Amino acid sequence: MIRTLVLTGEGINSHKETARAFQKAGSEVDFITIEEFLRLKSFDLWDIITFPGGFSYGDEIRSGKLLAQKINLHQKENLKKFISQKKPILGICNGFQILVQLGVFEKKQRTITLAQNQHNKFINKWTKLRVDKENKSFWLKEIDNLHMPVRHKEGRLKATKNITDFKIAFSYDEDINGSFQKVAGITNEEGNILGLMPHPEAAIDPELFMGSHHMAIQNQILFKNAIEYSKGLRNEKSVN
Amino acid sequence: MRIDVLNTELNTGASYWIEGEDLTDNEISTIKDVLRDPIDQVILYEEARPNFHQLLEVSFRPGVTDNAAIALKTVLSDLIPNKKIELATGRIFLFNQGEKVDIDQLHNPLIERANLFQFHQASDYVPSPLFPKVELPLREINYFDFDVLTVKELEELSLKNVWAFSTSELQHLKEYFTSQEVKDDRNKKGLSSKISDIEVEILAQTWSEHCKHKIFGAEINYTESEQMTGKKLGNFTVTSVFKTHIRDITNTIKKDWLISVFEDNAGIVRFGQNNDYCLKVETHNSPSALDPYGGALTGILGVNRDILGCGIGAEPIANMNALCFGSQKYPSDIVDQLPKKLKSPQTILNGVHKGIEDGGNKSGIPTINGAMSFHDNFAGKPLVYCGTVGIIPQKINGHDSYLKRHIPGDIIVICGGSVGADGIHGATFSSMELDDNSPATAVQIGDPLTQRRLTDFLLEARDAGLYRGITDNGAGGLSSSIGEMAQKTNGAVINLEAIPLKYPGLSPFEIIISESQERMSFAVAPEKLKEFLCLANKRAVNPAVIGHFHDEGSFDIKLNSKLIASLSLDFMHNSLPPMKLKAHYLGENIECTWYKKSANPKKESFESLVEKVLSNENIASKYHLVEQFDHEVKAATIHKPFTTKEKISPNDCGVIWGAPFGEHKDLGVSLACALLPHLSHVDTYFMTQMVIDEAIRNLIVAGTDPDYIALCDNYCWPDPIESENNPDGAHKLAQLVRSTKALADTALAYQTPFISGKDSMKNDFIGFRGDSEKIKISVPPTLLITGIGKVNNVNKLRSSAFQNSGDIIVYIGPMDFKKKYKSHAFETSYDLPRFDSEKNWEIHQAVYHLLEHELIESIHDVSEGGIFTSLVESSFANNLSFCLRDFLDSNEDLHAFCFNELPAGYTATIKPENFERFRTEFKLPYRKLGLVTSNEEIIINEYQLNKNHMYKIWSQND
Repeated sequence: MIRTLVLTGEGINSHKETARAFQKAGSEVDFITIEEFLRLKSFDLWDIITFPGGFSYGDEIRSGKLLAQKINLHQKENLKKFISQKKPILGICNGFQILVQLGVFEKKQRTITLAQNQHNKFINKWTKLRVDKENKSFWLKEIDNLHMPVRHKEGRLKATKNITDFKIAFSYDEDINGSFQKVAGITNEEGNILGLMPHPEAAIDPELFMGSHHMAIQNQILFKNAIEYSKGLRNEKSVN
Repeated sequence: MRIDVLNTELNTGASYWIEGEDLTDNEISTIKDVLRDPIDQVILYEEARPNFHQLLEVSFRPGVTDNAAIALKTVLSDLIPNKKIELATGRIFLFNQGEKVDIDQLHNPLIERANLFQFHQASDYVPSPLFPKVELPLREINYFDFDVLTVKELEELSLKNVWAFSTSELQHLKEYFTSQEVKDDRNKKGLSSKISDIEVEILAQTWSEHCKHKIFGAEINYTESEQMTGKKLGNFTVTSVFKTHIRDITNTIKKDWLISVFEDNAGIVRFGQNNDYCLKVETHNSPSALDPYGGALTGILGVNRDILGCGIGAEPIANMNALCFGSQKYPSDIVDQLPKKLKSPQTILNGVHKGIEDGGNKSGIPTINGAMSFHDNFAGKPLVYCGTVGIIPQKINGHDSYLKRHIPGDIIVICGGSVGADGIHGATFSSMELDDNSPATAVQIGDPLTQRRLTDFLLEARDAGLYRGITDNGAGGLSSSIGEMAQKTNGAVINLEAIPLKYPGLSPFEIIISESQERMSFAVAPEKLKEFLCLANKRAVNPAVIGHFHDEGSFDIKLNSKLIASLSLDFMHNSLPPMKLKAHYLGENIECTWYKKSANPKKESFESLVEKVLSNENIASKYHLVEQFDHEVKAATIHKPFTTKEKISPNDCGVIWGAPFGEHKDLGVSLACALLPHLSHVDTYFMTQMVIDEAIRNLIVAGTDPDYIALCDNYCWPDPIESENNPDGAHKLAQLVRSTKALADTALAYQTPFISGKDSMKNDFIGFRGDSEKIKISVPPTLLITGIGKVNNVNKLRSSAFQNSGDIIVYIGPMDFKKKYKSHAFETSYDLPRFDSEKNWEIHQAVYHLLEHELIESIHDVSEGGIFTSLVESSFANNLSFCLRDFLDSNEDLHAFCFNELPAGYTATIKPENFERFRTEFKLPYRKLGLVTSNEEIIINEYQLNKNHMYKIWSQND
């Protein structure tokens, strides 16, 4: 069975629903606390790593920054290896902020950051997302437009130059926070790392949509895609 | 060292003071990388010199919780190990030459220092490297000789030391401490015959109104004026309105799903198969008046800890809040009449709102329900009610989870934050009225991160069976938490030197009573101690073994193995005789305001009344404030605060879905609240009936089973004890008695028990206008009722939003439209409408059955703003409209129909094909009003109103 690592602790707070989403899509899930994560000898046990939403280290200094510093100090090599193996990494909301601060989307130096929303406010609202059809990442396979909540204050993507080393995955239907080209989520060039501000894990149950089953199922596909892709990776590996 | 980081696009930034031994260039550069984002921040001075001539620097006063510094420290200690680094943070604001700097708006002087630097050119600016440090003089234990001190002298000491003892309590103390028995006992224990400040302070906390609820336990003689027109109660004496009107009523109602009521930190009910649910609502009014942000933040985190400490430890899963403020719309001539030093209603709202936002969002607990109320008399002191629902498995490791099981010999371990001088005298201070000299140490800032760690640890330790008892450290600090836990074993001892401190210099009594935040106390079996500490250290929650429970009948404090204080638990908790108070009810419609009101407006047109109602602060949309609260983290909020489709309609209640917590997929737990302070001056008996009724309707509309509703009562009252400074105290106490009596009567009629409650009794502000005019602003007597209920089938949930054009609109409820309108938006005095509890309860049960039979498409309660407001709000979300024609009887009044705020009413829509079934099944009063339409115009008889215009008025603040 595919195994997903879900990070917890130190202010992360959406780990349970994120785990539910992966379980529902057919993956086994291991909760690993940040303190344990930083001391792991290797990430080989896992097919997928997920950074859930929350307020790691209280969002102090800059959302995602403090945890990213710790990961860079202790797990830079393991993370590099995991990425180079093309294994899926998902960062949702604070998890996306962590990935941005880790600099995993860029080839060399950092060109993007997530800043405070244009209106300086935290917002919790449901928003429609357009999927970028140019992006061929496995995460987006057979996904149409999505509908899910955003819940953030620092979700405005800023880019210093034109998109070169990352790819747009999702953009908001309406301009909700002043984000660069209304971007809501991106992948790295290879497509195995997905980061997004909205919360797909909070929108996989038809019950939470008040009736719109189709949209919930679309959000479920996102998680299933990573699992199907991981199965493929495993097969490839066993063939080789 | 000082590093200033500037946000390049904003002209604001952060300051960091860093103190470390011999930091190398490499290490400093590492620190800079942590502090500065490479994309949109620069290090001021080094990397950029923007052109500015003024710089405002705001930093915390020494000892105030600095969350950024705490978080930063955990990371820097990792990046730069083996070097001790001290940190402090602040904020900077840059301004141009001549630009006006509103320092008061940018800092709170109680907790922050502000320095404005002005210079000729930017390069003249040199950041000051001064590190803010707490320097407290070392203080010894003080002793008081009760043999010598007179009661008068004790009264002076009580005032000076913020003990808040009454004269009779001081007499009681003096009698006790001078008795031969006590002297002999102290002598035997090796204690001085003089009484230490530790002991006096412990008693001051334990007996404070905040902790002991003396007014709710008092013997009250109630009389009423002959002239009154409301419900006559007659003259009587009641001993403890809490026992008589609240606890005993719950015992009479007897529901088999009540698991723990009025026993623990929160009430516990059984709605699910696998879990129990607990509810607690607290207030944090005085702290929020002094520091709105910190007060509200600690309010939320504090009530979350009540849940964490409930039973053997529950998990908070939903927050609610009810916030009361002065008007946000005062014209300048009224603002000028506000007392000096009082924060403006806007400053208070903004701070409280931010505190609620951070408290819920950063803890990962959804804010699913709330209320806001605006009233002139909240201008002196806001009310900040914070509530939390928790979940706990019914059995944990084979034990009933609602029970604490600690026994003598169990070790006391505290986890979480350290103790500082912040939060000293919170309990006693909130038992006094506020004035402009209120102490700053009563203010604290919460630390959601530490609490989140504590929560994760606690649930893990609970499930592993590592402890036997738990409680939170709230008001009164360790003196209250351990003092209360010790009652179960009949004793405890604390070793003072073992308690972790933020900084040296605290005197022993301060350590014992400090309310420093984010701490929980655990009772750990000796054989589990090692394992408990191991996990606590691993999860970085800073555990400290501070003593143990015993069964010797006393609460003891030791310092380096020497006993320095000891109090009999029986004396602490059971010796105080009830207060004897007089209550006299003067009658209805007595209101006082702190400014001169203009005369009542003359009769207005229907259209202008409509605008007045929809734009009224209590009715207009609060969406812009609520959307900043995360209401769906945990992905279980199945009924949200608003229905947001094309536009926005407010819902009456929040529902948490059971499935994500392992319950049956149909189960929901609903949470709703109500408060109507505008009715209190009319009659608190009537106000209370209306509040309970509205809270229940708010639950019913979401399909809550009326047989499974539990209530929580929270009283915030102006000082109800008559004195020279408080001449109408007896009337206010009578208002309280009338309210609790109505609580009892209505709960009995509705067969709805109370499971928890709290009261806050001194919500008055005394200040000065000009130099000498003394002015007192007392809050209106305010009762918040919060209800928690069981939703049997979440698939039958309906929202307030109209669904289809062509659906039939009905009003369900009492028909009392003959009199002129009574809407609080434009009326301040009322004739009381009839309130028939038995009939109302029948209506609520019948409405529930309509929902169960799925005969209703949308449903909304009728409350502030009347039927008109209920319908207009329902029309917004799906951008629909409505047409009401020929629905009045000949003797009825249109204005009364549209705007009357009657009890027990609902508006609902029904599909035409279901109407016949509705007609035959529903046997109670209802009236068919008209149809849902998709027109641009709302039509009410001869009046036409543009729906977009209505929305614009209602949502003008969004």
